[in-house]
Amino acid sequence: MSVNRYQPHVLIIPEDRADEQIANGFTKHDQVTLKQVQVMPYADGWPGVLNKFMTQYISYLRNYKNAYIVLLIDFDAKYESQRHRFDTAVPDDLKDRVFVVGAKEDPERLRQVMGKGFEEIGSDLADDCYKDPRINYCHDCCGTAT
Amino acid sequence: MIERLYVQNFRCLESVTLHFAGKSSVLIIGKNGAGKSTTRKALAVFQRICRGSSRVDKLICPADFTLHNTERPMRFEIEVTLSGKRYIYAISFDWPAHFSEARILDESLSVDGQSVFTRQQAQIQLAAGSSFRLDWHVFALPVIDEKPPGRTIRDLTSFLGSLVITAPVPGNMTGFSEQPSSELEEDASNFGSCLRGLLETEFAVYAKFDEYLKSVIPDFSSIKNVDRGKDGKQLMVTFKKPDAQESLTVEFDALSDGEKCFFLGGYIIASNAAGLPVVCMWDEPDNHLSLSEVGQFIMGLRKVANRGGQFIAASHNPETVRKFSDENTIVLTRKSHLEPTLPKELKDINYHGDLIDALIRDEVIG
Repeated sequence: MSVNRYQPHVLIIPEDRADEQIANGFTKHDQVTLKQVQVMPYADGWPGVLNKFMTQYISYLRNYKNAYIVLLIDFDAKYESQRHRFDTAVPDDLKDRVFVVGAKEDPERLRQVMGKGFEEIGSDLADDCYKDPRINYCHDCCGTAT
Repeated sequence: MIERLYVQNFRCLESVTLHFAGKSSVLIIGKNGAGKSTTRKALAVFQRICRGSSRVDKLICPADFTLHNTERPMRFEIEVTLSGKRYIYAISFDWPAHFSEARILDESLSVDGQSVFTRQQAQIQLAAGSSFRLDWHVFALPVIDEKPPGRTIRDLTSFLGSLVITAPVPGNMTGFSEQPSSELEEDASNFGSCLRGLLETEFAVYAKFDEYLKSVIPDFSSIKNVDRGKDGKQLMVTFKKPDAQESLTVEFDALSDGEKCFFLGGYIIASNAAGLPVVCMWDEPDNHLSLSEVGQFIMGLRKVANRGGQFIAASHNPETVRKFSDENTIVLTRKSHLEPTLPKELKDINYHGDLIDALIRDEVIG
C-alpha cells in the first residue's frame, strides 16, 4: 500500500520522535486514506527537516507533480523566525505544495497542556480537519485553550 | 479487548504481566529469545482451550516449563473486557513425577468480580452451587454447559477461540479448501478455508476485502473459488489493469510470499468489518514485505482498532517500530537463557536521540 507517486499524495517529514507519533496518530484516523499519506522517518530536529527537504524533496516535488509535503516541526516559541527560515527555503514554484506545520513550542508542552498522548493528539487533529479546526489546531492561538 | 495477560513458568516467561488496558494496538519488541513469540504461544493456549482442545497433553509439554522445572506450577491468566464486563480466566498446571502429561491444578472464571466457576484439581465448583468432578487432564471451561439464557462462558470461549494468532508461513498458505473454517491456523496454512468461511457467512465484507486488496495490489481484480476434486475448492486470483482487456488468473498458492500476506491482511480487515471486532496478534507482520509497503501495511492493521478491534504485533522491523508510539510499545528484555523475561513500556525507557539508532546500539532492549 505504498503511496502512488503519480496520484495526489502527501509525505510528512517529522522533526523528531514526538512529531512522528503525532503524525502516526493522524494517519491512524479512519478518515485518512493511507494510500495517499505517508509518514517518513523523522529527521534530526528542524535543521534535519530543512536539510532533508532541500536535498531530497525539492527534486522529488519537481519530479512528481501530485506530491505534497508537510514539514512537521517545532516552532520552539519562535514562530516568526522559524516561519521565515522555512519560507525562504521553499522555492517559489513549490510554495503551494509545501506546508510547514507544528507545535507553537514543542510537542512535549502540547502533551502537557492537552493532557493526551502524542498519538491521541494526532488523531484529534485529523478529527478536526472535517469537524472544527479551531478545537485543537488553534487551542493556543484562538483563545480556546484546553 | 484483552486487558491483561499474566504468564508464570512458561518457557522464558517466568512471571510476566503484560498490560494491554487502553491499548487497542500494541507492539512488542525485544531481542531474539526475549519472549515475543512465547507471548504469542501463551495467548494461543487460551485460544486452543476455547477452540475445544480438551486435554492438557495437546498444549503443554515438559519443555514448556521454565528451565524445564516441572516442580513449579505453570500459570496463565487473562483479563478481557466484553460488552463492558470484565472476565478473568485463569488456569495452572503442574507435572507430578511419573505423570505422562501435565495436570490441571486449578482453573477459574469470574465476571465483574463474581465467580462463575472454580476448580481445584478434579473438583469443579459452579457459582450456582452444584459441583462435579472432571479428569484433571481435561479443561473445564469448554465443557461446562450453562443453563440458558446464561452466555457468560460461551461469550468468553467464542472471543478467545476467535483470536487471530498468526505467524504466517506463506509457503504453507494454501487457497485449497475442503470445508469453510473460522479458525485460522497459526501458520495461516488454512487461509483458503478461512476466507471461504468468512465470505460464505458475511458476503457483504467482500467489498471491504476487495477495496483493501486493490489498494495494496493495484492490478488485483477479483477472486473466485473453483471446484477442485471431489469436495474441494481452489481459490483463484485474477489480475487486470483497469484500462486493459487482458487479464491473468492464477492459483492463490502461486502468489508471492508478500502478496499472500496482503491477502491475510485483507482477511483480518474484512473480518473486523463483519460481526465481532477482531483481536489479532501477528508475529512479524512485516516479514516478506518491501520497505515501501511496511509502514502503510502496519497502519492499515492498526486501524482495526478504530472499529473496536485490537492489533498486537511483535517485530524487529524499524519501519514497524516507527509506526507505534512509545506508549503502546512493550519492550521485552532477557539477559540470558537462565534469566527471566522482563517487560517494560518504551515510554519508561530513556533513550537518546533516534529510536532506531538506540535500538541498534542495544540501548533500549539490551
